[in-house]
Amino acid sequence: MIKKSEVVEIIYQVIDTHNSTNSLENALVKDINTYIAGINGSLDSLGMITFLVEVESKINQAFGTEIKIFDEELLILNNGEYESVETLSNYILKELNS
Amino acid sequence: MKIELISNFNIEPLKRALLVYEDFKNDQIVCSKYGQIYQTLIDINEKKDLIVIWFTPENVIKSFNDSIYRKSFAIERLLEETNIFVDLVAETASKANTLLVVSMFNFQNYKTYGLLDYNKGIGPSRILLDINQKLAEKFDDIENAYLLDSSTWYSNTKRILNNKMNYIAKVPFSIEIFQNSAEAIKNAITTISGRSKKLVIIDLDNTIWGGVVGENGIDGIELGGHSFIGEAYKDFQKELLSLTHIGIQLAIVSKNDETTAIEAIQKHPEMVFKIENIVSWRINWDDKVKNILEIAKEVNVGLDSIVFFDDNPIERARVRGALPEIFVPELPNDPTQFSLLLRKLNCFDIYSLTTEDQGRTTSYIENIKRKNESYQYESIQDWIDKLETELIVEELNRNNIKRCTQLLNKTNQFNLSTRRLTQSELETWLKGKNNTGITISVKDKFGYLGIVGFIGLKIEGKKIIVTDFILSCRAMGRNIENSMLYIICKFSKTIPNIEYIESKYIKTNRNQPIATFLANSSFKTEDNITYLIYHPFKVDKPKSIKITRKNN
Repeated sequence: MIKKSEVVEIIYQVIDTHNSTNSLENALVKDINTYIAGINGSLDSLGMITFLVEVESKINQAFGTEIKIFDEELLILNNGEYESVETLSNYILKELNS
Repeated sequence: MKIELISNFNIEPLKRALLVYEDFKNDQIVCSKYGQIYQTLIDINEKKDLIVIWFTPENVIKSFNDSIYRKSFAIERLLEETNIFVDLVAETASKANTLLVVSMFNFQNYKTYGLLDYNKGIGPSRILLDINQKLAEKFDDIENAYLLDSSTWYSNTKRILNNKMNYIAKVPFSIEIFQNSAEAIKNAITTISGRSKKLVIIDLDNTIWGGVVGENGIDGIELGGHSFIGEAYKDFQKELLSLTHIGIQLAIVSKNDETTAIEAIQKHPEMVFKIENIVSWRINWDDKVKNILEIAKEVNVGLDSIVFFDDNPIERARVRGALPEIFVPELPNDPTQFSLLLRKLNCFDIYSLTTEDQGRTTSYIENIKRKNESYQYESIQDWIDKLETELIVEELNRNNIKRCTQLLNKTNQFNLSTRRLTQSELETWLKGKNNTGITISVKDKFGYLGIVGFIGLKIEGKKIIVTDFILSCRAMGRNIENSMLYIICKFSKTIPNIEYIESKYIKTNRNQPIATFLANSSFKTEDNITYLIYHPFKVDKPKSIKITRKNN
């Protein structure tokens, strides 16, 4: 059973990568409550896509899975899956365990 | 800086990766629209400081596209497409101070025909090779255009492509590739702006040979021979020595017995460099920080131009802490990694290579001989008089412009305005009707120092403005400064109706020496910024210096 903390740790790794390839103004804090998408999020569309594709690649690499995390429909529907580190990790955990 | 990134893919991630660096934070970086390659190149109507062109070949050379899809194509057509592309890219150089073009690389691992992939008229790998060669040949004649070797970006990363991002957002490469490319561009700009390193200071024991010479003796140190560790140290020495061929100096700071250490350097049969290759050394038991400061003063280089190699982490930390301007790479414990580390450092990159660079160690050593000889004379003037110095004055021209660009960009201390210009900017400036550039070469009884000085002059109404007054630190303090002022005055006398010469001192953290010179010269000033000499420009030629004019 994959733990939520393991997923969050991978998201934090992607935050590190994001911060190393973006200016300080666009940096993300490694915190469970950090907003990613939506009106409170600081990422623009390219930043958002890059972030989610990176998370997807790292999660599948870490757990030997092939789950889809970046989903255009979810992005358009904006139901909150990508809103924060918390909601994203919950969504990933659900997909991993389904 | 105004920067434009031109690509056939979405190059926005490169812009973001560049903005991470302090150097680019305040720059205006524009990304071209992807998919409109040729149009974008043609449409640049405002001169940029930097243009970066990064294309993937399938979108610019149709024959390449045919090749990867195993379609036949006519060689004549490929040639025509390549020439159109290369010419257009080369023309872009006139629209920027610096043009960086990313070399084409088979990053996709296009395995199309297997054994025939390098075959002329068939294989895609051959096409890439030919395009790169054509670009490189074209750039041989364009001073401000450089081909960036992208193969190192790809070989230094585990993940090159990001197919998903390519399909979603037209971003074909991984984040790592954009990081590597941003780093390469940042280094290119650092190099072009003259901020490369000039002096490498090395420790001895366990840094350039294995073991402690004071304990093991000359025969007991590991260097070359049949041990792999010895071979690794020898290779590291080869790498270090190779730096001297591009104008970077070597010095030694080591806690050791000087006689034993020098004997090891001179007599060990596997030593790659000899003491003649070392510009200065402090081999004693003193604090290394004190020794480094002494060498920096002696060789006359700023601390930010120095790299320090030492196997001992405590010494590294001491130097880093006391002299933060010095770059102290983290040496791995394993000496087999030393050469690789040195190769991977970007701080030794160069953007031009002159005869002055290649002979720099000799020149510095000659300078030390001059200095040593000066101690035998009662006064500095006596010593200067005995140097048999000759200045060769020549107008700025095609043959010396490369060296003058270097002087403009690398000289910090004796530099009136610290005006940094690329070669193309200097060429453009020289084309100005009222502008004149004068170069100063120096030789004396110890040898030839090469071009060490540059004077930029602009005639404006009744005055002559000294735009540049530059002298390499190697030639300072020998009355050459005064001779250059005499040359400025002599030139001014030849121009009718000139009433005064004006020099505007632009202060930097490093150029106090020229301020001191101006204050003690024939120039008059009221604000320590604007210095004036009025007609009839009475400045005497220093007696002991011979000045000859070289006509083009």
